[in-house]
Amino acid sequence: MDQFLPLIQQSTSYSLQEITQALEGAQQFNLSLTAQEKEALILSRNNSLTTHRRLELSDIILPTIIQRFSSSQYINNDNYLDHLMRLTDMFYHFKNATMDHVTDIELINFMEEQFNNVCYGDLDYLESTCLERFAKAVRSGKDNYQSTEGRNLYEDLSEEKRWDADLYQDVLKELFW
Amino acid sequence: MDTLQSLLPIIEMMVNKQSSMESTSITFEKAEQYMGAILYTIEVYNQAASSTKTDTTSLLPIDELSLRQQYELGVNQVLQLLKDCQILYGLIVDDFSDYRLRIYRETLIKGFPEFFKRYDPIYNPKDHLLTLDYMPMHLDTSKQGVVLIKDYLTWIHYEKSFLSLWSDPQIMDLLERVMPHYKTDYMDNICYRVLINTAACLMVGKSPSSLFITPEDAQKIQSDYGNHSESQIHELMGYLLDQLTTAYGLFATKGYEKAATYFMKQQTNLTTHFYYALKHKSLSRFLLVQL
Repeated sequence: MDQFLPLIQQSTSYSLQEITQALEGAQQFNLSLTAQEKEALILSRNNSLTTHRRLELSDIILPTIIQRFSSSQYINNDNYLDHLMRLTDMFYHFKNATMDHVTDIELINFMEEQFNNVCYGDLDYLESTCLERFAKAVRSGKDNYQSTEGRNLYEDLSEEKRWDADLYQDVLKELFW
Repeated sequence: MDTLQSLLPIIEMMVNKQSSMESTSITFEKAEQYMGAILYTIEVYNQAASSTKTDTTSLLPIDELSLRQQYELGVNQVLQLLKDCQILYGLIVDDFSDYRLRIYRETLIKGFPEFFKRYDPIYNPKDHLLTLDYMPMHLDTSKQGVVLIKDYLTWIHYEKSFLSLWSDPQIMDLLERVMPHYKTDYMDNICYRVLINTAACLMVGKSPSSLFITPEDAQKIQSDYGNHSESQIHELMGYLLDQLTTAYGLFATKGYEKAATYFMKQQTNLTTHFYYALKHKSLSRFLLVQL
């Protein structure tokens, strides 16, 4: 299966063009990458593909991740490269972990929503909690993510005890009325 | 690398079809499976087309077809082979007798419906799924997928037709003589066993319709052929097989064009078995002599 490794390596020049175009949109958020950082990003993507033993048939994921996450309030120029690298790696990892049952856009939608609204920018929480629970749910046969395209899944996957609004009201009444 | 490069667009097409263009990457394992599927399909096409110099469904001579064109024509060929298998299977199960032999029944009656249900001619055409525990007299097991299955069913169809010359009780009786618990324990081919006794009947000049050899028959065979060399026995077996495949007219009908050639393939096996049985004077055991 190592026959696929040269194919991964050779997509570099094509990828550079794609991500340069995607980065033009990121400029409005004061985000940019130097030429060396772009190359490092592509190399990191290639390493992720190799590590997770995936063959990419079109150079669309990295530009999509750039476009979708550049607008996040939790991303700035200091953490931009690192976040893009980690998010890309997570994407391929969890394509495997969900056994390719989840489409590209469903996974990216889930990652974006969780990153911004649940993890508040914490990549470790995104990877080790939200995405792990999602992958486990998909593997066990749950498919409600299909109807929402990977969105609005937080409540279904949450394992933490949260405030019960009705219980709260009852207790308040007991205490103060 | 060049081959892989040229197969990539076809792999991409397969992935797009299967995922409705919703996944832009696949695992290495899947890529390897798809690559195998493409190469197998192209090979099926090339083998079918090699009997004619040009492909009649295309305007281009075959060696001018692109890999993609060969693949797409190959898919049609694989699907056609699958249809041929379904027709052959229908002929086999029509008035099928399993002679109470478990391995024969389980392979053909239980196994093959699963093949037709689960065989994937597009994404995994190489995997014929079945272990084919009951083997015909001859099968080129280097073949794979629907090509192997078509061969298998063709040979079984010929063998079934040959076996139909005798009644079920006759064949079951013969198998019982081979092995009392043959129904569960006999793992060899039924047709070859019948062919041995058929050849012996012809060697003593009697009709093979009874299938059974008496002690006198066995003595006559030993006396007439016991001093023959292996090459003489080989020539004799060739003659007997030729008699068998032409005399009964069984294989003279449409659909049995390759049957005579198939049975002639047993010439060497029969030679070896008869030669050593004669040499070691063990014909009685070999031919299941009936007292």
